[in-house]
Amino acid sequence: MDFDSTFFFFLATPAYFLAFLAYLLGSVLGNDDSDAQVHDTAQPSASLGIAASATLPNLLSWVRWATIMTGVGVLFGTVGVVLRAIELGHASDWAISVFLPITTTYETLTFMSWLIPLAYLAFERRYDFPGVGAIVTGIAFAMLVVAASPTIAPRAVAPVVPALQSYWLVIHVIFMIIGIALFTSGFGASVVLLWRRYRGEPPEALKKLEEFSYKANAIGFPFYGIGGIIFGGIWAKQAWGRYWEWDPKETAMLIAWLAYAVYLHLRLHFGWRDLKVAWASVAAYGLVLYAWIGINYFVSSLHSFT
Amino acid sequence: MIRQIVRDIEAVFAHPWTVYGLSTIGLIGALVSFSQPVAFPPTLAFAGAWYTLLFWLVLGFSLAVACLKWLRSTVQDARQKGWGRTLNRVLTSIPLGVGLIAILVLIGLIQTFVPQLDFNRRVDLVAQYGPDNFEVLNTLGVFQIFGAWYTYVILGVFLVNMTACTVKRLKASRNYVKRPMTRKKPKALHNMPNTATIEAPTQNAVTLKDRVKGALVARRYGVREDEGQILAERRRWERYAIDVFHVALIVAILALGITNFFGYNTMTLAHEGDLIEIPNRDFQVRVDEFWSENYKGTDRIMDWKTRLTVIDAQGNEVKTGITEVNGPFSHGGISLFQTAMGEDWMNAATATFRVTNAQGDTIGEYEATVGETFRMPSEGLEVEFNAFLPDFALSEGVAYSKTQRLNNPAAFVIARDAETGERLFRTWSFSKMPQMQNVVDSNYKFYLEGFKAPQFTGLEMSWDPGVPVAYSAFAVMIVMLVGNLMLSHQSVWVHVDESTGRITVGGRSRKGDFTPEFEKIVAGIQRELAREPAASEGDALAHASKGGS
Repeated sequence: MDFDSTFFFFLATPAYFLAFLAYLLGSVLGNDDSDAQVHDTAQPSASLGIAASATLPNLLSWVRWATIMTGVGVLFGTVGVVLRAIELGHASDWAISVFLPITTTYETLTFMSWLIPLAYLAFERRYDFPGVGAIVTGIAFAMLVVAASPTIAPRAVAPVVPALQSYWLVIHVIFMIIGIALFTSGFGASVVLLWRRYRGEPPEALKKLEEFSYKANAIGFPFYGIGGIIFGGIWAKQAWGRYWEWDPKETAMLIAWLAYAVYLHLRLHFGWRDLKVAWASVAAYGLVLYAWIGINYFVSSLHSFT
Repeated sequence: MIRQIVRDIEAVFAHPWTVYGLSTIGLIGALVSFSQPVAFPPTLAFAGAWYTLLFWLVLGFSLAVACLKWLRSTVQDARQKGWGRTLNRVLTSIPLGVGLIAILVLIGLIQTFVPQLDFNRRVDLVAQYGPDNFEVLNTLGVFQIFGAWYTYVILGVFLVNMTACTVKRLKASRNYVKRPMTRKKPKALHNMPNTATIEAPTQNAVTLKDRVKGALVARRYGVREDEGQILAERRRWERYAIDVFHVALIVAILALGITNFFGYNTMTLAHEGDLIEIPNRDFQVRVDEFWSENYKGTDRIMDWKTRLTVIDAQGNEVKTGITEVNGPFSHGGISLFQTAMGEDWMNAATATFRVTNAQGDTIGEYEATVGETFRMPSEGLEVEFNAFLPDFALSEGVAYSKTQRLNNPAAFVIARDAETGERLFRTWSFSKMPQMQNVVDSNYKFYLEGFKAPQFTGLEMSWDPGVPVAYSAFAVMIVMLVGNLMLSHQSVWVHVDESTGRITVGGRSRKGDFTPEFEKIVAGIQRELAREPAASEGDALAHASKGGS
């Protein structure tokens, strides 16, 4: 353990793995039935006739354990992120007042492994789909495994380069990664929907799952757009003198955002549902991954800071 | 017979799957070719072989037939319904907008696959792609795809489409907000997402309604009444949020146009004491000093800074300040951004040459700066120090510097007859390979014994009249997106059955979960009904309920 933060990310890794296994078991053993529960329990209230949508509590379910383990992982991740921010502050002579530990590949992976499950937990109370939880915690676990590789993601704390010494870094990036975290939940829900449709389940039984995907994507859309186009533009103006450069990373982010705009219009205007809209969601998330990670392997960009 | 053939051709080539399939294959082929020009040369991918040529011809034919089919149906439609209506239908077509976005996404993908001339030197791209492929792709506008004429056309059509759609949406929103109350059957209220039935104590129907209205007004709902039915609403105008967002987005795109057409950005390399001329302004900026700061105890750069002084037309010092990374210096609408710092090898290197004759004897040592000449009187030569490249490389016969680091320093000299000025010979002199010289035309050798360069500060100078417009649009976009996310039009219908005293409540929200709010409304009505009414309360409630949301 080189650093305190590393220790907590190390602890979060098995927590996510156990959560992943528990979600998977919950999904395989039949807990992935949020839609069915809603249909069963949508009885009018005796006194007022209000349509209730509460789900039956199942204290011994795998899903409950999975949620607890995810929460534990997020808790460890929170401590790790805070400690990493302090370490970064020390290394950078506290050159800027607010730090966001997302300046290197290692920091990006560990930060996202904390944020993605956190965003999912925010949805889980309302949309209880273990399959989605398995995908989300699986992604978080995979990120931490990759972050553990010193060749792919060196963990040494490096002082922040001059270009990143701006409070706009925090504002720009935090909005974008909240968007990405939400899109990840939307992507997970779409993949589960596609899988369950492949297994022969009728679309009527998966409406809530599709709604989950839509909600996550619809909330992620403004975060990603405001963070990328608006706050990114303001920071670019301050740092480079131009708020839009057609830099490849900017372009990739814009096309990912436009892809989600198409997704939303297809759903809202054209009434697309079920498989078609799920595929659109998966394709749009593919573009987000391309803008976030893939683009770095194709062309050089103004966003290469190291 | 001919008509049937034409119809069959149209059915095959203008079929959506034919167009989508061929376009997808063409796009994948183009992307692979653009990004892997050595393995799949664009010259082959586009017209180098009979099968590629045939493919593009078939794709072009398919697109042309599809366009003609669309044009024919549009003209027929226009003849029946009028040109104005048809034009309006085409311009406000959301499928057109979605299609244009999809094309822009594809153009963006190409831009991210292929290095652009805006961020790369031409010579590097020629070296990477080869001269033939470079010419093909450059002619297609691939290396500056967001400056290509077809991208401007697509962006222009998209802007028109979005504007037309937004105007149409605004009209629809206005109708939505202004629409009169529609009475619903009690059964319809039961079918709403949220519904409740309240058995009220028997009392005067008018009093009942007034008390229900009072409960709704207390929760900040605007209340209307029609034939015994109450409609309570709030945030009806929420629908405008996304319309205004679209308007702001259009304005932001226009601001980008203002920036591109009226603003400017130039990169300036300056040395200490240099005066920077500012276009269209009656002042200059002097570079006083510049320096870098490291993190304590390390050699890691923390910041680059340049001290600047503004000097007006009369020579007075008006303002002094510092520009640093992420902290520009501004005066008179002009901003100067700190973008680079280093040694100015290419423009201002000073080199020391040792020159030898055919016998290898040293004639002398000479020092010169790039662009200067030095004389060799004993030889009757005048030598121009023409260029210095810190990292020499060759591409298609053109010399260039790969980087600004001293990886392969080389100086280029041109020797002339001191009397007549006639060029006698020229040669590159390499620091790391001193024997590699152009000895064909001369008996002299130039050895690069030493070199140095002054420090420079790189300043980006910018004037951007689009910024206030863009930032205003950004602010509106944020407010409207947040408004769209947080606010929702909520409607509650209340039907009061005068004979039985049964109150049926149905409610819905345009977005989000309305259940918690609905439960509060029902609880509020129940509380209000359970309360002993005060004298003359009905008049006050009736007055309060006249306001709408």
